[in-house]
This record gives sequence, C-alpha cells and structure tokens, in this order.
Amino acid sequence: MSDKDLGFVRRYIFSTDHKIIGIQYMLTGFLMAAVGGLIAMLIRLNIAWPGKQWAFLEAIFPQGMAGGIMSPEFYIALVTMHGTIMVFFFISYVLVSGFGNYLVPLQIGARDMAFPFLNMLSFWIAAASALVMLLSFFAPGGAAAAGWTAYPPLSAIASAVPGSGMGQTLWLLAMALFIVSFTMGGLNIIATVFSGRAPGMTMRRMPLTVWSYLVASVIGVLAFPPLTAAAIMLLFDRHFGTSFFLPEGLVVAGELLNHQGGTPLLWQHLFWFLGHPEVYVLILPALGIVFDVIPAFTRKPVFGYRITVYCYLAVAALSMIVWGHHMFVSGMSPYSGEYFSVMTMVITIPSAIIGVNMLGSLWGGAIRLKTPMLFALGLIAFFGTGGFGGIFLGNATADVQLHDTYFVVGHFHFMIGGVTLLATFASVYFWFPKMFGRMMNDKLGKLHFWLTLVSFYCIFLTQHFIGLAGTPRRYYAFTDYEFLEGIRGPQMLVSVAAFVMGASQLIFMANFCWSLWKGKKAPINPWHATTLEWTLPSPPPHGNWGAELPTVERWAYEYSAAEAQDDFTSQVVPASQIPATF
Amino acid sequence: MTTVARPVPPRPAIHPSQMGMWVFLATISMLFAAFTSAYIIRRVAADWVPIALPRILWLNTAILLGSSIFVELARKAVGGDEWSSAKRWLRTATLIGLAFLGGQMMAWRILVAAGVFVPTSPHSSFFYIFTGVHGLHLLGGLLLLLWTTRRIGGPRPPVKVDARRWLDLAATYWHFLGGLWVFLLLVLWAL
Amino acid sequence: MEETHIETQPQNRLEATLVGLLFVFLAVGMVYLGSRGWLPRLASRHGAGIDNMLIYLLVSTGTLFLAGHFVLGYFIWRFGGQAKPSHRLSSKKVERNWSLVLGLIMTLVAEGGVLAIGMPVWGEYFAAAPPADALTIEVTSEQFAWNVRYPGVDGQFGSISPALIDVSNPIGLDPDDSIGNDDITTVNQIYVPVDEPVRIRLRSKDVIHSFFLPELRVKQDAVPGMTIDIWFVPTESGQFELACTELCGLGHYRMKGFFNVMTAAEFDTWLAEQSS
Repeated sequence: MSDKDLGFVRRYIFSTDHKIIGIQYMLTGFLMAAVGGLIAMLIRLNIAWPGKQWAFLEAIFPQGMAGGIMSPEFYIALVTMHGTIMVFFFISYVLVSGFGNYLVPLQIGARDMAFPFLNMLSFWIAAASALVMLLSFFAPGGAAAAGWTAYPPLSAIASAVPGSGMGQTLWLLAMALFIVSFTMGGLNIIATVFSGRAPGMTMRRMPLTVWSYLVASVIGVLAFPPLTAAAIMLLFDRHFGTSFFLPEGLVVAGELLNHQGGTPLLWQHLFWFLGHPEVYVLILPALGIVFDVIPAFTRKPVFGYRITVYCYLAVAALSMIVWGHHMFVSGMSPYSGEYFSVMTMVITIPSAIIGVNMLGSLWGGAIRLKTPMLFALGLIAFFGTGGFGGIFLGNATADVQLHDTYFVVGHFHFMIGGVTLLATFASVYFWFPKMFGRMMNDKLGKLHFWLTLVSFYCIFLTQHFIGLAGTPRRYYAFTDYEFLEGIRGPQMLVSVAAFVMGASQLIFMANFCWSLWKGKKAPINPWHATTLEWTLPSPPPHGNWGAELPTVERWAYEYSAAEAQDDFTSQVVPASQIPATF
Repeated sequence: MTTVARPVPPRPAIHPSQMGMWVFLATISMLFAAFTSAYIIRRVAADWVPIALPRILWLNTAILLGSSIFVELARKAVGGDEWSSAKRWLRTATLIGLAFLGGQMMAWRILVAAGVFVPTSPHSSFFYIFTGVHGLHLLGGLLLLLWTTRRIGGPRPPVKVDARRWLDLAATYWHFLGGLWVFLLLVLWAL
Repeated sequence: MEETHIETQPQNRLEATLVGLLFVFLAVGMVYLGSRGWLPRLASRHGAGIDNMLIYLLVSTGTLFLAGHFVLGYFIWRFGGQAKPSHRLSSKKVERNWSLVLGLIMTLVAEGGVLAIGMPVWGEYFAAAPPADALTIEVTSEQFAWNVRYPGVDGQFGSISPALIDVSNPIGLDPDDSIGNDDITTVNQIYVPVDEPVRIRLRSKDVIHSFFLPELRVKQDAVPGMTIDIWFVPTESGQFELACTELCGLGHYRMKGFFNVMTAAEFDTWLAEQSS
C-alpha cells in the first residue's frame, strides 16, 4: 500500500493517515500553546506591575491596552481565553488527539484508525474550531470574558461585560465545533481499539498508553454532549430571548431585563458534568504514557499492570459522579454537598494506587535519567502534589475557605498544566525519533526539564500558599485589600518565575526545530523499547506494517526477561524463542 | 514465572462501523439526557406555561415510525438479494422521512401562527429545541439513507457486503431516531 | 543487533544522586514554606472548625507529600547507578498488597478527614438553620457593590421590586410599603455585634457574585433569582474586609465591602443613630 501516487495535498494536507493527522493536531496544539502561553505572560505582567504602562503593548492591543495600561475587561478576557485555549486547544489537541492518533494504531498493530476519512474530518473541524476561537479576539467587545467556565448571567448578557457580546457567541460556536471534532476522534479510538488490534494483541497485551486513550475516549464522548446541550441553551438565552439560565428581575447596566424562571445553577451542573470528566480525559493519557516511558528507562516491567487498568476504569466511572465538588458554595443544597464530598474522596483511592504503581515501577530498576525519564519522574512528583491539593478542595468544609482562591489555580495547574504538560514533553522527547528519524538533543532537554520543573514549583506551589491566605481568583489587581498585603511579594515571585518558565520553552522549541533537520540520525529503536512502533522504520510508512500485520506474542513490558540475551524483548518475538512472562 | 503464548483473539462479532454507530448513538442519548434533565429542572419554576401541542405531531410520529418499517423491508430484501426491491423500499422510507420533516415544520408554522415563539414559554423553548435538534439529526439520517440507496444501486456482487453494512448502519440510526422522537414527544406532552 | 547507543548506556551515579537529592530538597523546602502561617487570623466560631479541617489536611497531606518525595528521591539515588535491574517482576500478591495499603491510607486520611472532621462542621455551618434570634441582614450584590439592608425596629423587611430600581434606589425598595419605612440601608458597610449570631440573606441583582469574609471563614455565592441564607458568629471585634470571589465583570477585583464587628453597646448605638 503506497500513498506516493497521491499529490502533496492528499498526502500532507487532507491526509487520512493517522500519523500525519496526529502531527497536524500536535502542530496546531503547539501553535495554540504559544498563544495561550503569551497570554499567560501578559496576565503575570499585569499582576506583578498593576497599572503600569507598557507602550509597546498598546501598539499590539490598542483597545485592551489603551494608553499602555491593561484594562480590567481586557485582563479578564485574557484570563478566560488562557484557560480555554490551554485546556481545549493545547493539551487536548497535542496530548489526546495528537499523540492518541499517532500512537494508538501503531501500538495495537493496526494500519490506521478504524475510520480514516472521519479522522481527517475531525482534524479539520478541530482546526476550524481553533480558528473561530482566535477570531473571537477581534469581535466587537473583544474575546469572551466570563471565565473558561462561562457562568451565566455574566456570559449570557452582553451588557454585563464587553466580552459577552459577539466574543462569547464565537466562543460557544468554537466549542460546539470542538465537541463535534472530539466526539469523532473519540469514536474512532474506541472502534479502533476494539476491532483494529493485530493478531495476538489481546486487551491484556495492550500497553497502558492504549488503555488510557481508550478509557479517556469513553468518558469523553459520554461527558461532552451535556456541554453541547448547555451551549445551545446559552446561545438561545443570549440571542432568542429564552430563559434557561436567567431568572426574573435582572437589572444590568441600569436596564431591567424581561427574562424569568431560569436558574444559573443549571448551567453549572451541565458544565461541570463535562468539566470534571474532562480533566480525567486529559490526565489519563498522561499517566498511561508515563507507564510506557518509565520501563524503557528502568529496563524492567511496570509494577501493577492489571491493577492500573482497573484503576483507570474506576477513576473514569467515579469521575462522572463527582462534578458537584466544583459547586460547594454555589447555592446548591448542602446535602448534595455532603454527597459530592464523600464521593470525591473515593477517587483518591484509585489515584493513589496509580501513583504507588508508578513508584513501584522504579523499584529495583536500572534507572537511566534521559530527558523523557526526567519528565516522567517530574510527573510523578507533580501528580502527588496536585493530588494532595485535590484532597483539600474535594473536602467541602475546607473548600469553603479555598473555593475561588489561588489554591484552586495552583491545584489545577499542577494537574493540567503540570502532569499533562510534562507528559506532553516526555512524549515528544521519547517519540521524536520514531516520528522524524532523528534524536533531540538530550543535554538541552535536561536543561529544559530543570528550568521548567523548578520554575513550575515556584509558580504553582506558591499559589497554594497565597490561596490559603485568601487571595481570590481572576482579580485584575490585588491593591485594594489590606488582607492581601502579604501576598503581593509572592505574586511578584510567581510572575518572575512565570517569565523564566515561559522563556525556558524557547529552549524546547529551538531543540525541536533544530533537531528536525540537524538532529543525530536515530536507529529505529534508540531506547530499546518493547512496544510495536519500535519495530518499524522512522517514520513508519503509510499503512505501517507492509504486506503482513505483526503477530503479537507477549505483553508490552518484556524487559530483562531471564532467557533473553537483550535486556528487552519486543512484543513480536515468538514465545517459542523466549518464553512470555505474565 | 513463564507462560505459554496466549491464543490469538477471535475477530470481534461487531463490525467497527457498527461499534462506531453505537458510540455515536450513546453521545446523542447523552445530549438528549442533558436536555431532558434541564427540562425537568426548569419544569418546576413558576413561569412554566404549557403550550398546546399541534395535533399534527401525532401524525408525524406515525409517519416516522412507519418509515422504519420500510427500512426494515429494505433490509430483508437485501438479505434475499432483491436489490431493486431494496432500493424501492429505501426510497419510500426516505420520502416518508422527508414528509416527517415537512410535518415538523408544519407544526412550527402552526405554533407561530398561534403566537407561540421560541421565548414565549419555557415549554415552547424546549419544544423548538427538541424538534430542531432532533430534526437536524434526522436530516443527517436522510442523507445516510440516500447514500445507502446509492451504494445498493452500485455494481454487484463485489460491494454487496459493503451495501449491507451501510444499510445496517442506516437502519440502526433511523430506528434510534424514531424511538428518540417518541421519547421526546412523551416528555413534551406528559411532563 | 544494533550498536549500543548512548541512549541505552547505564546511568551516571553522581547525576542520579543529585537528582534524587533535588527532589527531596524541593519537598522539604516546600513543606517549610507551607508551614508558615498563611491562614488569615480567625474571627468566627465555625471558622475554628474550618481551620481544624485545613490544619488536619496540611499535616496529613504534608506528611504524605514528604514521604512520597523521599521515596522518589531515594529510589532515584539507590537505583540510579545500576547497570541491570536488581528486581524484575513483583508477585501479584505484592502488587495487590501495596494497592491495599494505599487504599487504606487514602480512606483513612481523605475520607476519614471528611467524615470525622469535615461533615460535622459542614452540617453545623450549612445544613443547620440559623438560631431564631439571629440578627438578619439582607445583602444584595450588584456590579460592583454590596447593598446592605437592616429590617429596622419592626424587624421586618419592606417589599422590593426590580422594576423600582434606579440610581437612588439600588434595591428597588417600594415607597408605598409602610413596613419598609424603617428599613436601614447602606452601601458596602455591614455592622454587627460581636459574639452574636448573624444571618445574611444573600441576593444578587445582576450576575453571580460571592460573599467572602476571609478572616471569618465565610463564603457563599450570591445567585440572581435566589435568596440564600448563611449564618455565623463573629468572635473578634474590628473591621474586616468583604471581597467578591466569583467573577462578575470588570470591577470584580474592587468590590470591597467592610464588615464592622463591635460590642453590643456600640452596635445598639449605631442602630439607634440610623433609625433617627
């Protein structure tokens, strides 16, 4: 099977090859990450030096930075778009759709996804979604400014904040496109894993990476539709005069509105019904990938493979019934609060077991500290730290004090901006040789790792502390309150660390780009890893496997098998040659 | 600890396209489950004024359920290799489906004529959204039926399997939308 | 067989030691910084329960946090110089036992914390009804201020209507309702006596706001279309700041109110002054 007869456009633009589509998702995601990251720099600039004039920024943002000073409405639009872009258009595109598309067919021995054409469609709808989201910056009134959570009435009424004009409508439309795209992708992964596995690739022989994408896709496709429903109802409230979320008696900008009967809490329930599983959609692949990276750098199998799979399933199921822990002080019934708090604590059990399995996977191994492994180890630390913060927030009593403070910001950045980010980097450094046939520079990689890790702790652990001190979220400035006097110094530290972290990513970008052309040529299996993709040329050809599909003879972690000469045994090595353990 | 290599797993009983369709139906179900729970929550507010559902809706329901019969007849025909019969049944089902959509738009016009618009009452808001979103999905179903009709009309026998598969997909989707419509109408009428 | 690549060569012992030490050092540093007193001073009765919850969590998760990082650092140091694994595959029993251990720890620490300490405090703060003699104050939040209303001598709030809202009548007090004649209104200023239960009737005119008194450990969203009751007992005199903690628009960061706690005598004096 060759695709050489297709023109450039069919091979690289409208490709149906999962590897090209995966790379397209990654490139789009990294582009959006740059936008989201620059926004973060602007946010931290404003927090560190409130009210300061930045003449050069006025040239770029004439409305938001009129007179060189950031306006509060521009600030909250930036906060909104930072969150939206990073969650949906960076991590989801690169880690879930990008690496998911690239790795899943390869690791199960398939030629491609179950529905290649649908896959191509899903990417282009995703690209359109990103475009609409970026265009919303140019809408009259600017981009959406009601937070990535878009709570009505703030998000429903145009006069409540400038971003709630056209900007919020475009946000909702972009999200609708995103959900359509994600559903197509999730559907594809599920069908592929169930019916595309090569001979011998039983579910128990699948790498944990594939398991994690499967489980993430299941919860994703089930959890997103309620947000679609909510978005439709919000659009109707905004444009067609309905009152799903809007009660009677609203007076905004001096005008009495004629809605009645709706409740803002309905939006919150529907949003968080998606919102909570969504974070597990993002984090499960991160955890799965790390379980595949670590063995390559310990030369021994993972600890607790089967238990980890059960934990994925448990976490996924539990994730769908705990959304109310985002709403403890929302006005929802306190009895619901009790239920959600007790249930949320149950999730700590499979999560902690996954953590101990990661640590157990290190025990007794021949640990090699190459860049991918460093990111994996950092991820373990971040997972624990972020997880412990979650225990505070899931506890309704503690949450009374911590809700909507920087404690929350610190917590979720550890999980989504930390665990998933490190997994993304680990994946790039690890699979770059397979994708492009060259190695990335390991020394630069380590430098990138340490700068990122240390600055990350400076930023986001500090935010836990200032959250304990009561610092509210989404504040344009902290100068109005005396009780916040003590946190202004830490906020400055956070901003400086953020600039360091932002700058450190330039090392990664430079390494990536330079290595594409000048990186040391990679052998087909530089890490001596066992999973199927490492038996293929780099990059694998269209159709992956040539004339015959591989036959799988063992699980994915056959490192240092007693009877083997090498310290790893690929999944395709016959059991008659080297017995299969497990 | 060593074990003998495990046996090769059998090919799954469901074709991936059918699995894909079931996943898709699960997402549609979640969408309408969310709408329904919103309906139930909104129902208890003081401003709920139920609207009179146009009677044509019951006729539309019968039409839609009836069209499912023709889709099943097409399936049986294809099972017996009666391709031109299958095409006829499918075309009939498509026309009836089109009539359903026309009937739904008729219902909209009746309401508008009676002064019942989208924001008139929360009940009317849900009515327009339920019928609109369901109708959009049904439009997709019509396109699927047309596409399937085309596959059936293609050269035989090489793509027989392909045509049967498309018909199975189209039938699953079509029957689901019929059942979904009955559910939505009951919610609008009884709750 | 391929040539042995630099990627697959054994680990440098020194680097492993440094990396292991760094994780431990980071963790110790963080726990040290975290144990400085970050919580604001306590000024309410139920707040003691919330602080107990927070301190319990800080100590228990802090311990687990340290332990986890120690283990991570130790493993990196200990196994970072090996050419081959010293231990390959654990038995199913060992894997299961570690799961049980972690499951037990989490159940005790996380769930135990919620059930033993958290829920009783929650029940007292939220689920219990306010005492019948609690001072009731209505707070109607808006973009970007807190409208405060006291029921006055008759102990009853006059009726209000959104249609009557204008610049001089921010909550829409009905002039025709005589019950409302003695209502006392302020903007951004709340006055209460110390050591007495206070009930706040929270409302909102426009978007969701949130009533946050950091020192009193009080937080409740103010939702348009709802009237939400919360109650608490201030235990310290002084002036405390009221902050909004739900994004409400461009003035979210400057929606400052003042919560003034004073002796009963001072409060009665203030109340009398308002009524005249």
